[in-house]
Amino acid sequence: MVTLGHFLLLAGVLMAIGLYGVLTRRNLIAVLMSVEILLNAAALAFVSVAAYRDPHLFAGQIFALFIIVVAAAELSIGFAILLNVYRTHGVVESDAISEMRG
Amino acid sequence: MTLTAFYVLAAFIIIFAILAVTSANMVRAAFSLAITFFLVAGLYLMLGSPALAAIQFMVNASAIPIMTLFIIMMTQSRSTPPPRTWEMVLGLVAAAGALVFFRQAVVHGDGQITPAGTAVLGEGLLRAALLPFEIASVLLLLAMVGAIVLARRRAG
Amino acid sequence: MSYVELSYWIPLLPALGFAVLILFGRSLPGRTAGWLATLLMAVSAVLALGLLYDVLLAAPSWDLAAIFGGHHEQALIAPGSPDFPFRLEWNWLSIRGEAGIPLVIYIDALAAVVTAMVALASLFIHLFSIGYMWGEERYHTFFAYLQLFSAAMLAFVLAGNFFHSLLAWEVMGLMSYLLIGFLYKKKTAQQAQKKAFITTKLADLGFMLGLFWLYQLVGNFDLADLASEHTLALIPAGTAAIIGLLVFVAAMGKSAQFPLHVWLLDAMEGPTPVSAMIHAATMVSAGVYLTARFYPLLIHGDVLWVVALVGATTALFAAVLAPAFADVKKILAWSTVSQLGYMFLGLGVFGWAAAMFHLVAHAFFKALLFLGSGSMIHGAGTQDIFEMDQLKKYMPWTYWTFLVGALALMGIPPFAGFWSKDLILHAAEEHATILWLMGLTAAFFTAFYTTRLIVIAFHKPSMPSPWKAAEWTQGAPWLNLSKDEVEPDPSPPAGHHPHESGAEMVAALVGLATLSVLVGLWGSPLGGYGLLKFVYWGEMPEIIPAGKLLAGYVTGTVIALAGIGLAWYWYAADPLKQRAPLWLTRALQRRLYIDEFYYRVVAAAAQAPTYVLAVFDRYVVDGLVDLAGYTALVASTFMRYLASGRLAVYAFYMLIGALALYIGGVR
Repeated sequence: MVTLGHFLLLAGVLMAIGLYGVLTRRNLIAVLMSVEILLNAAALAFVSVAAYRDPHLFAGQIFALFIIVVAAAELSIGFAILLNVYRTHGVVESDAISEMRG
Repeated sequence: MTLTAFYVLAAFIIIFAILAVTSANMVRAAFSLAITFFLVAGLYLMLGSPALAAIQFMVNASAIPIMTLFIIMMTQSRSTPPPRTWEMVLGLVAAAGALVFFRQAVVHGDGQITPAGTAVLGEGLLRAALLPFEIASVLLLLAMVGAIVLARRRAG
Repeated sequence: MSYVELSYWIPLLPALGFAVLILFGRSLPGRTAGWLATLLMAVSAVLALGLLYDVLLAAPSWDLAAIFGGHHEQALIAPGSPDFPFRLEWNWLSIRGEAGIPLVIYIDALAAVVTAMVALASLFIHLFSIGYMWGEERYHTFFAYLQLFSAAMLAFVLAGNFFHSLLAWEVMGLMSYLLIGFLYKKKTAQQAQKKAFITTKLADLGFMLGLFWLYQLVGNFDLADLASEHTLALIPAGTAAIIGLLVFVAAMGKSAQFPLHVWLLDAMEGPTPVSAMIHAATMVSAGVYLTARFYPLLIHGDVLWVVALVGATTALFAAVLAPAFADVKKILAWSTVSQLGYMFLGLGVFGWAAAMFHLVAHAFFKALLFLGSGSMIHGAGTQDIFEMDQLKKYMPWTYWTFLVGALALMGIPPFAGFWSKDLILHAAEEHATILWLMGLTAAFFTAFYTTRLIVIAFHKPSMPSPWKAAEWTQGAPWLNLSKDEVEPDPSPPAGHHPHESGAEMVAALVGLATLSVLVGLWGSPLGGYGLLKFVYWGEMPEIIPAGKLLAGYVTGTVIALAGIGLAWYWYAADPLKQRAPLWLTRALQRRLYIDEFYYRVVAAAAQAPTYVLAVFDRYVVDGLVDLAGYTALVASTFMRYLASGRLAVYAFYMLIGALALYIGGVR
């Protein structure tokens, strides 16, 4: 029988993968993709808790919906910014945007 | 039987997620991302929330990967170099730390899932969470306008 | 409304004048600043004279015949007003209802006379300055300073509380500094003002220490109280001696007595009216006045002999040095030092009234002489008596008024100095023969150098000054200045004819000449010993009839005539001939190297600790500051590596931050 623990563990693993991606990837688009994975892991955690523990209100699902909405908004703005980075630097590498180093 | 289904889904989710974060080929990474989210929608079905599964499928598994592909094309970043060693170490350390950390948060319990109908979701949105709902729509409007403004080709 | 009740206006008017001139003086047209100051001083002088009149009426009067005949019981004709000596008191400086220090104006005969003297002298000097200082850029500032100085001196004389005398004393010291350095662009003036201020300030320590010690013993600063028998009984004789000597040190500094005389000569760097006012008539008299006020204490401590000795030494020392100088102001400066010595000598040999008489007389005739010299300098264009061209012919008013002052100084009857100086000498003779002989010798030299001055400046045509190019007069080693730092005084152009001075200046000269004659007569037997009877501190005056003094009078006159005779014989014939051996002239012109000793030895010794402190400052204090800066530098050099510019690193930091927040918040 699948318990809440399974889902939460899966969400944790997804979060770890997402973290790895944020810290590792050099292409900024890939970084945003990893952020998306993180957000989805969180949403998964919310939904699973809502399903197992919150039968009356399902507040977790509503929360997960909002997470999806906000993630979409944030990604679109992020990609627009990355477009500008591409225009000024020619690439969307995280190495290219280190003018503020030191 | 649900347990097997869960494990299969979980395994594929993890595989494709790892592909998404490690592929050197950006297009492959984007598609892996789409598949990952598609499978998560499946999980939502398992959790008894078809409405949410549908939304997940439409937004996260379709629209977002499409947007990603567009941006990959526009920025000519078809491939990305592999991470440097210290970056990998950093990431692995963070991931390991996250795993240890989250392990503690895992609780078990009985396996009762209460499916949620669409009606419940709608009622919740339009009653308890009305204000956040409206704000979210405004947020989407803002994001839309903002993205258009930011991505415009500057005159001259 | 009597003059006594109005007495606080006497110092207050010039103080207000100072305030007005400092604030608005610059916008006053022409000589208005000068006339305003003179007007205020005139009102003050009128009030002072009125006060003197009131006090004359209120003081006890004595029958001379009874005193001379020895019938002391019948000597008192009228006991005088019961309010006398007058006293005005206000509650000042009282904290939380405690007694505090009252503001007291104490008017006895001495105070009334000296106040009138200061006010009148100041008035004439203001009048003289209107013309003399015209053309000066800081004209109004000069009068402002002169006003404040007059206010301080008047406040000092009228003060009934020694704490306030101290305050006024210090203000006078400040004004002296400012006025000596009025022409502050000259290096010599800068050095001179510092020298004056530091020397007198060091001496003032004596006043402060003595006064505060006295306060600890007695519990108040009151002048009248400290003179009374029962208060003095509280002080043991030894302590009284030390306190008295401490206060006398301050008087020595202010009145330029040996060995603290060094500043007065260089104070001649100030404009001539300043020299007349501060360094002849008033401020330097303050030391004598202070000693006079502390008389009961000095007697109680039995230290008057010190006063007498210092006075006699100074009188002789200064009179011997004067003939070696060619600058008219420096000669008069030595003369001032010498005459102040006489006053202290008089005080020291219990000739209190004689000394006070000499004080008042000297103020007038020395101010006259200085203003006269100012007129000479103004007309002849030089300060060197050799370069002055027969001034008797060209500047008759100046000549005759100067002559009156000179005769008073030399002690020729019937002029002022004769009456007062011979009284002092008589008192000295009764007390200690050596002091009397010193005084007599000084009188000889006084006549000698004064005649020398008059002969060469007024009677002889202009000639090149003998020592101007000499090697030992280059630079100013007595001011710690080398040859390069001092410009030589300019000589007047050839063919320059001296001209008499303007109306205001001549009026001032005539006024002072008249006053000096009158004052002299007031204290003389011809005036019924008026001044002498008057200044005695409420007690029966001890006046010696002229007959007993006849021998003394004759001796004094003979000595003076001898001095005149020798000077005339030497200088009328050949003014340029070197009469004294060169080494002597050189040593005298270098002021017997005393000033240089002070600079090289004393000042250097005082500076020695500063080198230790400088090392401390440079290595310890600066080191600490550098350490702080260095720490910041090191820390930031380390910290800047955190800002790597890499996105991944920043994301990692965010992760750690979020983790820390969570852990901190949950736990």
